[in-house]
This record gives sequence, structure tokens and C-alpha cells, in this order.
Amino acid sequence: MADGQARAIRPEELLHQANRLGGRDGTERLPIDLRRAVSSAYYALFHSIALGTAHQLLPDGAPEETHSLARMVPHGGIKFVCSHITNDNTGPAYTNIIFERVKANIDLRQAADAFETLYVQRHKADYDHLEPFTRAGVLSLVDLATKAVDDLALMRGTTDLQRFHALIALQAKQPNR
Amino acid sequence: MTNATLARDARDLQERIQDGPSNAGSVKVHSLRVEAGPDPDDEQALFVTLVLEPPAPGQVTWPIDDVLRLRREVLSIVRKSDLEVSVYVTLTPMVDD
Repeated sequence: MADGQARAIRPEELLHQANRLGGRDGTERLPIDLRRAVSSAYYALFHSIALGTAHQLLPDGAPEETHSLARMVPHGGIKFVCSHITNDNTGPAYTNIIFERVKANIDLRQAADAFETLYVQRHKADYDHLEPFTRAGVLSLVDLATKAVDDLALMRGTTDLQRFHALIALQAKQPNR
Repeated sequence: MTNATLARDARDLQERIQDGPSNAGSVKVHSLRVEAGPDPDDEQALFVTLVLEPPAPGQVTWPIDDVLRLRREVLSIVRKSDLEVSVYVTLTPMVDD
């Protein structure tokens, strides 16, 4: 691919990068590499969810339309949905019935837990100078992201995944509305 | 929520998890700590750190299926605790590698 040419962000490439930076092959990595591995693992899952949501909103859209829609999916919106899936509290009014059905799906519950965990760890990796990171701990986070990305891919086309994406799509915000 | 309430919740949760699973398959919990602090959205939260015995020789991390089982069991304790704040669970090896 020519230098400077646009190429979509692919979750599987981010996971590959996370494994490399995390030292999956057994090589020692610098602490800064471990931090970047956490960040790449988080973004692999984030983009997997954002692209899945965009595909659901416009199934037959051109790639540039899907990628534009995916830009509207907010990090905090996914976190909000995942928090309501992983806890036993009543979900928001009107959508609680959908949350309850998503919560019953163990793979989605696990993916929601993975997102919440990576959301917090990515923040620490990028901003907290005093947070220690170890290879085993970081690669475990990469595994968590990989499992979630794989499970979401396997669920493609299921009603439960449609429910999950619908709840996330509701969190998208239009600027200057 | 006051800092005192949050500190009490952290202590109570630590005791409940300590009474819970000490291993899942090949993953063995050496110790744990629960600390209060702000999450990325600046909301007060509890952070559970499970300090695990190192991965098996020749392995760079723990088996994902065992990790997921351990997380499910700990998160089940968290849910039953009916806390008002978010709780985040992370794993770390007892000896820094």
C-alpha cells in the first residue's frame, strides 16, 4: 500500500500489534511497549464494537459510509451500555427490557466486562505514570480483548448482538444538534 | 457517597472476595487488594487487584479460559454485594516479570 493512502483500522491488526508489543513471543519488552499494548488491545475491541454498530445501522452502506458512522460511536456510550450489562441494577427506562435480554447472554456479558476492564486499564496505561504493568498482566488483557472480538464476530447476525448494537447506537451524539 | 463509606465498602468487598475462590484451573490467587479511587470518568469506583501466582513455566500469561472463570466468580461476588459504585477487576502476577 502506498505511503499516505487511507487504510481502515482493523481490530485484528490492533490485536496483532498488542501481542507484539506485549511480548507474546517471550521477548522482554520496555514498560512503554506494555502500555501501548494495553492501548492497542482496548482500541481493537472499541473499533470492533463501533464498526459492528455502524454495519447494523447501514448494512448495505459503502465502506466510507460505514466508517463515517463508526466515528459517531462514543467511548463513554459503549462504557455506559457495558456497565448496565455487567451489573444487576435495573437498566434505563424504556430500554430495560432489551438490557435484560442482553444480560442473559453470557458471551455478551463477558464482552461487556472485557470492555469495561480495558476502558479503565487503557486510561491508566496512557495517563497514569505510577501504574505498574507486567507482561503477564498485559497479555492477559490482550487475551480478554481477543476473546471478546472473536465472540462478537461469532455472534454476527444474532438478535442478541443486534440488541447490543442498538443500545450502543442510541448513545451516539450528533454535534451541534 | 462519603470517603468513609467507600473505604468501608472496599474493606467489606475484600473480605467477601477473600472468602471466595482461591483458584480457577491453573490460575491461583496469591492475595488481593481492593482500593477506592476515581475511574476514567472521574466517578468514585473500587479497583480489585487479584495478585496471582506466576504463569506456568514457559508460559507468558495465564490460560484465558481459567482467567475468564476466575473473573466470572469474582464478578458474581461483586454483583451480590449490591454496591453503588463501579467495580473493576484486574490481574497481576505476584512477582513482577
